[in-house]
Amino acid sequence: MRTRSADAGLVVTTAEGAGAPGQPASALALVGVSAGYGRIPIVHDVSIEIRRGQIVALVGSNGSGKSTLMKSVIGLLPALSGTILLAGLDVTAAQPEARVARGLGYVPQVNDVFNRLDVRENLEMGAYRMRRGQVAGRIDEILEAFPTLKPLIRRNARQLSGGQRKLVAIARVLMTSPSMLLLDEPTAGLAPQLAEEILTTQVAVLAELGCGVLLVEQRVAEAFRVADHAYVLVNGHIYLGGRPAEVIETPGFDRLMLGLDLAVPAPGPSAAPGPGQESAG
Amino acid sequence: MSSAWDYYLTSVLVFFAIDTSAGLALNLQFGIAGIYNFGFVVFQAIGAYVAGVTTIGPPVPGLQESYILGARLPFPIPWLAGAAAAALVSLPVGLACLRRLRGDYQAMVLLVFALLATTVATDATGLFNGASGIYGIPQPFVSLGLSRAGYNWAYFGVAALIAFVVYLGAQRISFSPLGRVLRSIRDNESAAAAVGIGVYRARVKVFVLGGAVAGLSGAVMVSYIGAWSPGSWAYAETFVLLSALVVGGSGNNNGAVLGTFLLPVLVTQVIGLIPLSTADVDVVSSLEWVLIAAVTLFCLWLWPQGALPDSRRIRKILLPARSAVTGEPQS
Amino acid sequence: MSTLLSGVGFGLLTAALLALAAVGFTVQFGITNLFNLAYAQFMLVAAYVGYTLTNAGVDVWVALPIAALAVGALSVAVNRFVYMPFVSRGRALFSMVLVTVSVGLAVEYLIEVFAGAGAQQILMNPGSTWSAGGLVLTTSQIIIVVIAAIAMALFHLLLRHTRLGKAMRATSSDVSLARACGIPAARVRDVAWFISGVMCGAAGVVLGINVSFDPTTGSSYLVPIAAAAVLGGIGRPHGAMLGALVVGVGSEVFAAITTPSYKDVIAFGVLLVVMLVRPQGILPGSLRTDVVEP
Repeated sequence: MRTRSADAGLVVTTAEGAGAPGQPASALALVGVSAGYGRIPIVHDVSIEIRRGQIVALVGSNGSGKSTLMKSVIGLLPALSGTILLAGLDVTAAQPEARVARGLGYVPQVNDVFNRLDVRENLEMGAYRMRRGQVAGRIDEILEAFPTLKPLIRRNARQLSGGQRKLVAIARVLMTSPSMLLLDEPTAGLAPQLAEEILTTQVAVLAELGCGVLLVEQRVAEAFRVADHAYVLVNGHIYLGGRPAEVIETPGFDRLMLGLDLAVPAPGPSAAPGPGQESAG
Repeated sequence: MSSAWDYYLTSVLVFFAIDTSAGLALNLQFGIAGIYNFGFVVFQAIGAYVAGVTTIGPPVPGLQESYILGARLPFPIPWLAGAAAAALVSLPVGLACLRRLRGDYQAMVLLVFALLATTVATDATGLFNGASGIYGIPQPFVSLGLSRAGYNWAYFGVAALIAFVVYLGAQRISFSPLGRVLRSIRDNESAAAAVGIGVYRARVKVFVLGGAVAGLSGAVMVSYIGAWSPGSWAYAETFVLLSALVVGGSGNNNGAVLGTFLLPVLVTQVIGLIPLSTADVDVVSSLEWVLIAAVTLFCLWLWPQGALPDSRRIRKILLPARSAVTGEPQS
Repeated sequence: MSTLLSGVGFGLLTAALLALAAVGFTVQFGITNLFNLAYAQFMLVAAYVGYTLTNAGVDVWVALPIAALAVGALSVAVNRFVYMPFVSRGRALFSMVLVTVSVGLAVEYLIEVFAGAGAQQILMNPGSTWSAGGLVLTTSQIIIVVIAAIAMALFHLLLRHTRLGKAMRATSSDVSLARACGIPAARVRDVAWFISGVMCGAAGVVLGINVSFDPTTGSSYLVPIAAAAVLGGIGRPHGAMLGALVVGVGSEVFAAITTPSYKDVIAFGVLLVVMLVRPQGILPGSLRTDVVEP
């Protein structure tokens, strides 16, 4: 049943209208998604929408379920309930391969490069779905955008520093020019300067090119500076959602970031209007 | 007729008692500590060989036999010597295999060890008389002057007593602090390994202890059947005991007893009762192995916990459930 | 001196067999993260297929690829319909050992049912004898060594220079990341099992040419295969090639200067030492997590 790929999926028009005039198209929409390991959900009833060109930050304490959510979006974990729409197409039951073929890109938090492959081969794997003739040219383009990788191109990924690895991982995911990108803590363990550069340069440029970005971050301040919209995940539930400036000002935000429930959940966060609507409003 | 039946029944009972001791020892290693000791039968074989050569006396010059340690020691000593020899060999093997290595890696090395041991015992003819093995081993209680059936009953009594003592010991260990440590290793090796050297030591301890009981069971076996050769202990013999644990419920001593009754005893005997021409005997004995393998796969698929599950198994709810093979989550 | 050289000669032949076998074994581990302990029995299936075909008048050099392809197909089938269902069902890595041994045992005794327990050998015209110094090989033995060398070279090119080969390495390195890159991991796995099965089958036919075999011969070959694979770092094909050369030549030379029956002892000695001193294998750069519980 799960082998049916996105090709068999239904084209669904979201409530907001996938291509409503004046608004960029929906890149990714999660509708009431629960996900977890085995049959035990870790993330409950999450609804988020990301439009093309938008950066949405997802923050929360350790163990709040951010990575679990990301894995279920890429398809490495099954969604236990709910619907995942990729550019309006239902991919809830699709394999990760099929989602990638539909323009989804994913940079995991850890194990983000192929250790046994060199940098060039890592980039080639990012272009696995691309026509063979185009790969070499695309690698040259990518290396222009990431000049620091040029001298490392034949270096084994295992021998790279943490920052270099992360750059390789981001460069690899960009090989196919994804329309929707999942970045799971791209700056974890990096020097502040490099982290700043990745967020404000790489990620922001991506969004300008029309890519939707779902960004999981520990560095809340930096993430909120580039994000158009932010959500706070606590114990697998979305507690807050809104413009970054509003979210960070919300009373109790610090408590939520420590993973502590507020006595009363914020009013209907997961039913809150999508970011697209707000940005339009 | 009746005496033949009596003889048949008592030999089955003797084998059952011996297999029970062995099954309980393997359960301690595999069921409780999670060590895939595919070399278990080697330790039984060592016990059998040593008990054998310390019972039959030195090689008879004209017979072209050669084996080490030829001696004629009185009854309990050869058995104890067999157990001690098996424990002695299992110490370095355990020290080498149980260190740092991933469980399936250990299993492969122990399997390879078993395969190699057969080769060595066959080719090193000076050790235990090579492929012909040792035979004509005197039975220990002949001096009592019992009838054939009476002797079998007496032998069963001794074997059953040993099995019972092993059972009590296994129960004691299984519910002791050591048992808890071992279970925690089995259920989450990486977490338990973080605790440190104590884990390694606990596993080696149980490996040597299991080896000693294996040696004893081999000794009891060889004194009963009177002969022992590489043909008696193919690596697959370990597999029968492992299958028995899977079927009965590994980690649970009662399950181990039930499993040894069901697989090595019941299945083998039921198949043995099928009337066969001699031509078919080989085919059926091969099919018996195929059947045991199939039963094992079947049980692993449907009831991996076995008929009598280990109630103290730590349920793996929050462990990283991602399969390393498919990258898919496991349920 | 001449015994030493003849040992080297036969060592090359054994190394050829082991290279084919150990690379296949290590690829299966790398791509699926399990030790296929039925591997040696699969080899034996090929030996029996080769034996049956040559008995029916098929030329041995035709029988070899047929048997190899048959075992390739068998490997894919067993992996997909037995091993993978167990893995997806979430049986711990541990029970997979029991699963693969069960399959191996079933195969071993099914062979015995169909082919009998007697010893067989694939008979062929060995061709003329070539000697250089004290090193003596027949034409057919030289062909075997050359076939293995070509197979290794081709496999190296596949791994290093083709998209499929790189995808196999990527999947072996991290299957989740591979899938997240859009690599169809299940298909890549099938291809890897087919290729490794073909190598396993080729090794099996070579076994049947080199020595006489019976249904239990397969299991005894697990010793040098595991030693070669572990020596090179389990999961690493190039390491397995090197391991095969070391174990193959080493054990035959050892056998030539002592007793032939002890050649497996050296293989096991190698296995034990590597396991204790350097479980990640002799090549530099392996991650220890490849071998030790992560």
